[in-house]
Amino acid sequence: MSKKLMLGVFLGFALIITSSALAKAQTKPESVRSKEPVKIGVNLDLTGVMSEVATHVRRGYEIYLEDIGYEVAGRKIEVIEYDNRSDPKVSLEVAQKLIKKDKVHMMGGWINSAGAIAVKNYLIEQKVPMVIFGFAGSENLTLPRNKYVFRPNYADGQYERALAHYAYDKLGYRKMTVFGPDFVGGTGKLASFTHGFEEKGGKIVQTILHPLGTYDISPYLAKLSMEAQAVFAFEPGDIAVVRFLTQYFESGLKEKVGLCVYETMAQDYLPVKVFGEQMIDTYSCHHYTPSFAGPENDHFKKLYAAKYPRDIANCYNEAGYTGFKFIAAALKSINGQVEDQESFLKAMSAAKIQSPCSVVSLDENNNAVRDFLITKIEKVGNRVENVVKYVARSVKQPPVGFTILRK
Amino acid sequence: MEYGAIVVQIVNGLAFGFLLFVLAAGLQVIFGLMGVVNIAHGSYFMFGGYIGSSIFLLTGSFLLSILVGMMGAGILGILTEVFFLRRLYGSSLFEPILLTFGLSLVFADLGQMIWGGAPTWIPTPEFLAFSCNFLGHPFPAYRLAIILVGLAVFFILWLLQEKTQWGAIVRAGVNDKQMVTALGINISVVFTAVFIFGALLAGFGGVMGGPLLGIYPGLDADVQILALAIIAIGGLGNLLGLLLLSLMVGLADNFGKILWPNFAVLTVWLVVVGILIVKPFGLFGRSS
Amino acid sequence: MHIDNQNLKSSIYYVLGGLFFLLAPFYLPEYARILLVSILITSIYVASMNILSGYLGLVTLGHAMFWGTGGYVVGILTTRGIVENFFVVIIIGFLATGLLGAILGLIVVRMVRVYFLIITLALGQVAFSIAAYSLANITGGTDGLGGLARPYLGFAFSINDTNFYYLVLLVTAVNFLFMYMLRRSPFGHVLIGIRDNERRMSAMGYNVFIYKYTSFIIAGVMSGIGGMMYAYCDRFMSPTELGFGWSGAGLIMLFIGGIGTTFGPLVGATVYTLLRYFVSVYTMYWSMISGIIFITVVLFFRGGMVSYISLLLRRKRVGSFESRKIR
Repeated sequence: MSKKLMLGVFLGFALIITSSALAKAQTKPESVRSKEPVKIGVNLDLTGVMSEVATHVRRGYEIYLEDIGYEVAGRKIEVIEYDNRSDPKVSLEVAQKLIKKDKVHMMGGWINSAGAIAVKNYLIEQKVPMVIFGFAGSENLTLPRNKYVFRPNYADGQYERALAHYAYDKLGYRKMTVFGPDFVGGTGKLASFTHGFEEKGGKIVQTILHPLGTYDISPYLAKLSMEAQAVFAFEPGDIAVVRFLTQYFESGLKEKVGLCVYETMAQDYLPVKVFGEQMIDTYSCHHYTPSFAGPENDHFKKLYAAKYPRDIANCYNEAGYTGFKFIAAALKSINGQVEDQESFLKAMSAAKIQSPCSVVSLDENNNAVRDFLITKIEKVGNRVENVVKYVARSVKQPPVGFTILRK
Repeated sequence: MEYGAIVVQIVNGLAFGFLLFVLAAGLQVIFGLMGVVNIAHGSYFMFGGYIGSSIFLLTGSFLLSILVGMMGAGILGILTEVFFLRRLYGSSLFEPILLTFGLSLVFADLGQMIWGGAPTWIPTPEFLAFSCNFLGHPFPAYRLAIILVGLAVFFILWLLQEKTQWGAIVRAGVNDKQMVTALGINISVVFTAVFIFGALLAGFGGVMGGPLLGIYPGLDADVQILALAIIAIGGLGNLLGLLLLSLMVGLADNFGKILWPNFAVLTVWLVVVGILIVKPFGLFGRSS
Repeated sequence: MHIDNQNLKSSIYYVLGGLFFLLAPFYLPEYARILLVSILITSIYVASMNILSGYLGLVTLGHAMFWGTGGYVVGILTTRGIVENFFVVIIIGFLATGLLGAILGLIVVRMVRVYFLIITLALGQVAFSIAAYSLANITGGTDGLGGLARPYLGFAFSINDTNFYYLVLLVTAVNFLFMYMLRRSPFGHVLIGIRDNERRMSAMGYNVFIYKYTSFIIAGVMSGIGGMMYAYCDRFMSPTELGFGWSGAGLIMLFIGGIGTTFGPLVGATVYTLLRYFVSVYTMYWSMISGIIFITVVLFFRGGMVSYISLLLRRKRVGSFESRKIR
């Protein structure tokens, strides 16, 4: 018995030694601190169902940082990134690690809203600015407003409402079905489309939800009622998108109902490339599309092509790019003094930048205000691509409750 | 749901069930003969699928994907048995199982190291990528193909079990190991052979399932858990019973999703628990 | 005189160990303290599995469901403002996990060996599905349940990080004492007897079923306590706390630490937690490393670290005695 105690105590002391060895940061004088790099923590879903999205977001922010030499206003930028494995619990652990161990000045990322929701209270409590540049679109991240939380990408509801209005007004649909995975990001988008469509006078006849990550969705597709004229579908991430489209086309539904999809499903770089002509006449709503004409987009595409010559830039890359461009603009306006937190927070709220497809600024709730593009997939010459049909200008986040699905 | 749609869903459920059967059959023989619940079995399934998807990307040949995928799974099986499990024969009942559990963790991360965290898939092979029409409801031919192949596998396994000498030895070994050894047969060779065979089957299932299920981190656990449930209920040694159970589980899973989406995942488990309550040694098992 | 020395030695170790834990908030950097809290809470969980798998010899793959139940009790009660008082919440948690154990125990305890493993696995998955899908509107589903508060002990007594640590320490210490006494009690001896030879115990007149059943409930409640402390600690609950992954992790910790030993759970929890936090800084494949360590322990360090080291030390002591005898 005493031997075991000895073991316990030994372990205890080992613990002290190892942990003390890891205790790094002592408070340093002001002058030294401002020469240190600005530490930006990144909390991304690098493994799991959203992993390709996260990897693309990372590509996007990397090309931006390389473009500015990892430096803003004379200070270096250091990115510390951890994988939250698409798990809200791990997202919290990552946040703890980034704040307590790596002592970051701000934290950004999150693809799945659940990961962002899990850490929001913690970051606010710890007074660490939260920059949601991933695809975490859940409305309650920026409603109600909190001075520490910023979202330069988009909120659920911004695209879908615009697309729903277009579907009613320009496409003439009156009855539709919504289809997607059952998680806060999925239901948020479906609910927004529903509200947007119904506020115009249309009717959503069916809401079909399936568990996130199910591969075989044909049983759910089988439930589609022919009463609807068109379907609005959302799937997160490349694999889910390909799987949906494969099974959708296999089931012969394309001939029977119109297809309106969320941005991720009609990306030029993958689904359009893979499915080609089958996707013609599909409408979708984007915050980024490669065919948009503009100097910033040209610059962005050039940077991307230089590093990834065989790929087409996509909306995920743009999210990372724009997110960090936004942070950099805010930092520049306060001369890199990120330690002066009040100024930094104000600078973030006031920042305004030119992203590849739109001017981006933040509204009173620190959520993005930007243009959204409605596109139709057409054959242009001998290529199949998204063609911009309509630009919804300066779209703001819809009001509270817009993205809550009534089940 | 209309009649046509129901038939389509039955086909879907049966296809999934056959994939489970391929996995469970290997598990069952290993369990029956060696008393080991191989928790790493699902990993073989997943690895077969991963390797198959890579091979397909390289060569475009579905057949080659199956062959190499099976081989890959088989190699994992050999590794498991020869380097790890062998050391534990004769020890307490749980240590081999724990060992396979540890291995399953290693294999899972290994899979992620090699193929990344993103799910991947095997596109449906060209000659099967069409839709049949049944009473106005289109459904993919590939699922039918899985059913046919599954039936063939069952038939082959049954033949092996009932009509060949190997089958006789394995059956005898399940019943009474000592007798088999007394008859001069090297039981450890039989163990290894059976184990590898099970792994090959699992790999085969993984590749076949590629177009249907995809291959993703966590696939190993998903199919493994279901297969464990099946052999728990199915008990030992009854191949037909195992097939029927697998099909039932596949159907329950499929219909559960359609009829009670909130309880979809639950239906299968409640069935399992229900059966185990009534018959603690499985439907066909006996206290061994 | 020899015996007195031993007692003195043990007492010194006790005191040192006690001081280490008692003074931790004052000398440990913040991040290390967070880890220590996590380790303590986890050790409660592993200890609960020790009762079933270590003392009784029933390996379970579904024990996380009790941990998760405890956690969700805290989560649901506190986020909805139904109950505020810490003590009331704990009592409700006790009742909930106890009830769960009592009902499930009736089904499960009848099973033997591998079937026990599989049915506990099945039940764990059922629990997971219920939390993730069926009752998603109460539990928050796969997105998880956030915004839990720190425990409210009443009398306007506020809990900050430091007193929370002491609260956890207190609970862990009480739990540890309980396990220590259980091991040495007649009840504990019967459990070990059942593990070693169930038939003989039964033949001797012990009602094996009652012993198994009671242990199942005790183990469940203890696991639930761990879960409740966890919910208060991380202030976030998700269905993964109920699933096969966490059940398996508990088993790994128990085996690495030392199955059936008193210190095993703490050692196992320490190794696993430190591994997870530190290895994941360098690589995301810490799970594989834990698997490798686990396999190594199973193959070469039978019984876990604590058992193995005790064995070594015992052999050394006996060995030197023997050599003296020969001379």
